[in-house]
Amino acid sequence: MRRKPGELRPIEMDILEAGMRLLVGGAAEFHGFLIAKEMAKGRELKRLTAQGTLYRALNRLERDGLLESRWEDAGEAAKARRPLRRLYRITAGGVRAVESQRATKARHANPSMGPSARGATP
Amino acid sequence: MSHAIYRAAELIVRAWVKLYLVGVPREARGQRRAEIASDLYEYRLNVQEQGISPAAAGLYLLLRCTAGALDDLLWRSELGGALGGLSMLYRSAARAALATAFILLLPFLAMQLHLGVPDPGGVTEQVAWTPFDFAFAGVLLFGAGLTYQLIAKKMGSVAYQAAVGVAVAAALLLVWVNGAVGIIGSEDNSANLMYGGVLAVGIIGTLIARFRPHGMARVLFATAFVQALVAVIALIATQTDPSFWGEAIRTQQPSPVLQLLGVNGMFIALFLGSAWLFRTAARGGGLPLVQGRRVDPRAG
Repeated sequence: MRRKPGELRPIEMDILEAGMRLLVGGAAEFHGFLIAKEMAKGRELKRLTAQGTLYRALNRLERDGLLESRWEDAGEAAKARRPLRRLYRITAGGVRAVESQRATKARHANPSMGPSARGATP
Repeated sequence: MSHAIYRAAELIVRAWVKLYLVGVPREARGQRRAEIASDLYEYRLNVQEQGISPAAAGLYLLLRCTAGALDDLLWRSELGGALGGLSMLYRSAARAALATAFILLLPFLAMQLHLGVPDPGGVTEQVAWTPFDFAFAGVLLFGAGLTYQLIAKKMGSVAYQAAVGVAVAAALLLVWVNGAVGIIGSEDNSANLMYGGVLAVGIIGTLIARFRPHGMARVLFATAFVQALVAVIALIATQTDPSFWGEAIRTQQPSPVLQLLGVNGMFIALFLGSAWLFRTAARGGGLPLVQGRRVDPRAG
């Protein structure tokens, strides 16, 4: 099922917001488990998102152009003696989608902030 | 991490990933497998860093996998275009359901037409299945059919497919015969629970062997060995304590010993036959999940 244009599902919003927090913290790219950990920080029970749910949502976000991914250099992974990581990065479209969703939420929370409400203000 | 529960949890997760990736195009399959391998590695590292108990971490890993299982299947179905319309999983499930319905139709019709089946004593008995019988048979047949469709038909040579078919059919028969009439005495004889060990060896061994034909051949040899062991225990117990066989020992025709040898011999032959077919498949090679063929996740 595809989302309505401009609308993000809660899991997608969680991923993008966690990705933006990591970006602010200096990590421009993230792998699946890192984003799951970052998302868990914002939750009361610190639960990690289920693997199936997480990777399905990451695939969807990439397909819709809100994320892009690359596989890390094999030499780097071999040096660290760990499996290859798939590294995701939020695109400009992803940042816009988060900002637009935040603005929509803010309007719902405070209707006086909406454009029609502003227009009606004397 | 060497804890048995943690290791078993990782094995189950990897087996689940392999199962739902059967039939998925190579590139998507390789990428998902590599991503889960990375996730499992990072999780293990995280557990060690935080000093979490391995048993608790293993159970949490299983929970995390189970909670996302539906999304795994939905992700698979979203690849519909690449899989050519309906996903293979759904098509396999539909085929297994159709075959199950067709087979269950036979006893249902027999009941409607009041048909009978001759039993070994020569007395014709009418078919009289309860709803529980239909449900039990339905779950068994559908499970066996889906297992065969997912593992064998999409995964390799004719020998490998035949090996899976024989093993699944033998396991299905073992459960059915034990549930319906019991191999040792009657179906109420608790000694028949020993055959649960035969199935356990097969299932746990399959998870450890990860469907690789070399490993599967060993698993099926072990399964045949356990089947023989159960028969030997039953024979010795029947000789030393006739009540072991249950009430039926005096009236049973053919004799308990002949029955034990015949029925167990048939299952041993089936498991050994399957083991031989797996060995043949291993020698032939060329299986997608066999010999650990590496798929470059970045390919394509």
